[in-house]
Amino acid sequence: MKKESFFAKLGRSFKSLFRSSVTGKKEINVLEEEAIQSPMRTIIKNFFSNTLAKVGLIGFIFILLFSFVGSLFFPMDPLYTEPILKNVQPGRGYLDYGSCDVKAEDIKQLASGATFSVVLTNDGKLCAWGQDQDDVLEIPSNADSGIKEIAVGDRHILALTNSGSIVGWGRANWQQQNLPVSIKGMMRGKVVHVYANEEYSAALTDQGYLYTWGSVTSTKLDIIPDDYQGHIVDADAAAMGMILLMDDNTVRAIGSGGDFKNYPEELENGEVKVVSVKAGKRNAMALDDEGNVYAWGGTSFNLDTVPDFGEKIVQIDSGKNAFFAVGESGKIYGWGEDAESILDIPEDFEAEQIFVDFFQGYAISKSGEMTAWGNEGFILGTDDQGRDVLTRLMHGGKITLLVGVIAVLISSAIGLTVGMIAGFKGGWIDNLLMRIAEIIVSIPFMPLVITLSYMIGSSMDSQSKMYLIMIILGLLSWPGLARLVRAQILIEREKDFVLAARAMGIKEGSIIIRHIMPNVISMVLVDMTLSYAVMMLQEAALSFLGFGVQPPNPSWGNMLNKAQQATTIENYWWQWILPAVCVLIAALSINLIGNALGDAIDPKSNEK
Amino acid sequence: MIKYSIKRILSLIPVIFAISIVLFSLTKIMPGDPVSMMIPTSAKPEQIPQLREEITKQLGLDKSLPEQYVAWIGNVAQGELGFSSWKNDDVKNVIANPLKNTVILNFFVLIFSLTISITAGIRSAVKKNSFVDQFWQVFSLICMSVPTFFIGLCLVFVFALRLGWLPSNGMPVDGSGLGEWVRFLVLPVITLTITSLASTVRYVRNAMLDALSQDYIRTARSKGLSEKVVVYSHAFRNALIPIVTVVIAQIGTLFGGSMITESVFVWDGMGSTLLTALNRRDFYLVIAMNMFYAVVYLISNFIADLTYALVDPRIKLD
Repeated sequence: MKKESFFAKLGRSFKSLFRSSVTGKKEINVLEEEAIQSPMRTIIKNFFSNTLAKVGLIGFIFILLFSFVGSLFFPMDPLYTEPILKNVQPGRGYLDYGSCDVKAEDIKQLASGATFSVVLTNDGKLCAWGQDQDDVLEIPSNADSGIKEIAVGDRHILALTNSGSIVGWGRANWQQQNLPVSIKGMMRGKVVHVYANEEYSAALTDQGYLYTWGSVTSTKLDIIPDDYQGHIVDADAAAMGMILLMDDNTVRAIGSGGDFKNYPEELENGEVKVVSVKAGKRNAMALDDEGNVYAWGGTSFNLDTVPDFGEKIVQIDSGKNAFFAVGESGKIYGWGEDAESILDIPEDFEAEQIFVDFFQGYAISKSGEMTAWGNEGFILGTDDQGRDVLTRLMHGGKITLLVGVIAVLISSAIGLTVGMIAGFKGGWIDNLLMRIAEIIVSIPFMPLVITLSYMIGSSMDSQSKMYLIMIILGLLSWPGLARLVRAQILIEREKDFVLAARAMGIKEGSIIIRHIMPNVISMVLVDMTLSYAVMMLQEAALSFLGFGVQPPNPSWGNMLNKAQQATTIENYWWQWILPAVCVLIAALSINLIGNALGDAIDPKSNEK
Repeated sequence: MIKYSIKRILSLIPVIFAISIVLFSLTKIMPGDPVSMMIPTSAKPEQIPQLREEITKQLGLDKSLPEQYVAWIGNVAQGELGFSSWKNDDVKNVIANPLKNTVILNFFVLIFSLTISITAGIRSAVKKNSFVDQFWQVFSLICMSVPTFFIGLCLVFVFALRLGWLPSNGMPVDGSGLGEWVRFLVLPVITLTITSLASTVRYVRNAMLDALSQDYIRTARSKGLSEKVVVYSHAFRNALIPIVTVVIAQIGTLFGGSMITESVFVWDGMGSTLLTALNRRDFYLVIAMNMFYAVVYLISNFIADLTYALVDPRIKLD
């Protein structure tokens, strides 16, 4: 080995200082640099030296993680809908009681609507938080102070003032926030309690008379039997009916909730003394003076099966399809439907009082602490059926990405095979295959796909329709690739290296696989990537028109289906911009990857 | 040339037949009964069997499948495209109006997209890697990745619903003036133009780049010709072949219509007619329209081949 001079050493270390810090490249000698790299390594090196390729790759990985990993963390029941949460704007903080600065011991009453909660303090003041809908969080000036009681429907609030008048605000599609003059005029006694639920309100007077208004005719809530009137002391409003507590501590029910009126006999005949009644959507429950809980109203979500508490119950409350009870020890029990995490009750919390409505629950402990559980909000809002847009985007992405992949695999497999056969065999086989390709190409793609999807799939269920779409997209998209492969093979087989291989006596099959195919495969890969983006766009367009993936399974395309209505475009931007942006990000990343791959494989095209 | 044309037309015939057989058999597996859809709801129950028979006979559904096909293709050859059960009228008459609307819509799209793509494509090629070039590169990359209907929906959101300048969808009423037509046309034309620009600008640019890198361009420059002459007379003429291909492909869509854009803007064109025909299970209308699309495509391909010979005298057709 030759001895290096001191200056050469110094120069080398100085140089390497720069190289390693600036480019990170290892110093290689001339021979190493000249060494032939395998084509694969060159492609990978070229690919990763392209900034756009990296951006595309990161974008695509992000979309993959979002759809496939995200959907694991946010499971979805495709059939779940929640009408009262429909078209909710993006937002969180439904349980953000801290924003009101109210001490737990000052709370007189706390009630929640679909997306908000409102608290009444002991000195008669109101404060509200959550997602504002129909201006429900804008507390009017005449309800500023001197409030005795509040009642909250899904999107409206009623406040009973100390002077006995009712102030209402929020959603007004049935005038539910406004006590009608006709009722006001004939009211017997002074209003002592107010109640509200989905689109209706009710008021109870000190003489035991109940009055209802709002959307009450379809639920038959306007029919209150005469023998009930005058004996009602308390009530609870549910979506389909009301449970009444009578002055002899028995229970009655009004409304159309079928099993609502099938209460246990002992509640009606006075065997037990009922002290409190609560009602969910179709089910109801009652608490007697000995701490026993009774539940009835049908077996949905096992709401009628009261758990074995092993202790005396002091308070009951109900969400939409979930019931809650507080034991003497302060433990909170809950059962029913676990929608919007309403059954995620805080453990080890000694509750003195709980306030549960719809999907929000609050509890106050004996020591004055406060906690909350349930629906915290929807970061990306909800759709027209009350489903969380974020969750559906994740699961829809899964379907859209999968449909694209399978369609591309089908079309590439056919395209490659047909192109190869046509290219190698030639003659009448080539002629026939290319005529078939011409027939498929000559009918416009979208009309043909829709015609086929409709003709074959109109009586299919959602799942098989999804597979049908993959197959149709795959079966109709191969001619482009087949022509490309055929043309490429015709060019390659005339090249000198094939002649050389032949001259060396290599078998024809070997020439095809080892010498011609590598030159074709790289091009097929690029085409596959680019047509993946096209397939995703096609799926989105098909589902947008209603001929693709069918609801209730989400796909980015069918989430946009509702955007054909002007009201959706104008009022609910999160329902159509978000899925479209997802398609855009996915297709753009794939196109970037495809372009970069093309440049990496054929660096000459870069010069264009 | 004439010999070539005849040969080409003759070779089209088997393709057209194959397409017609495929389409015809497809419509036969379509679920739903067109006869029961044509029986008026006012018909009395005892009349229905007789009415059924009459309508079945009128539609020719009582014959065997090959017979039905022969009868249908014979009529098609005579210009009788069949009977639409949805509109209770000849397919010809049903298609006439949507076809007119689609041609009007796509005519403007064709003009705008051609002017813009040729000027932009040439500029990008001549000033490679300039700001203009990069703008169009990014533009076409994004437009190739965005769903067509999203462009339409965004335009509706901004210009129709927020600003209220233009109608969000629909057609001008009969007998309305030019101004009214323009108001309804602006948004769909912009949507379709943007969509088609995504690929055409790229295409023209690449064709021009190929032409500009040829030796005769260097020769032309070294002769001292002005850049204008070099670009427009030497390069552009030689880039015409690929450009003609794009133009012809566009003409195909001139009649085909875009189902998505027409559906977003509720434009009464061919695309939305096909959608309704499918929903109404109108067999004959569906095949007639798909057939029409295929024939338009084949003819425009044929015209493209003839045009190649016109723009490039070196190409001999035989």
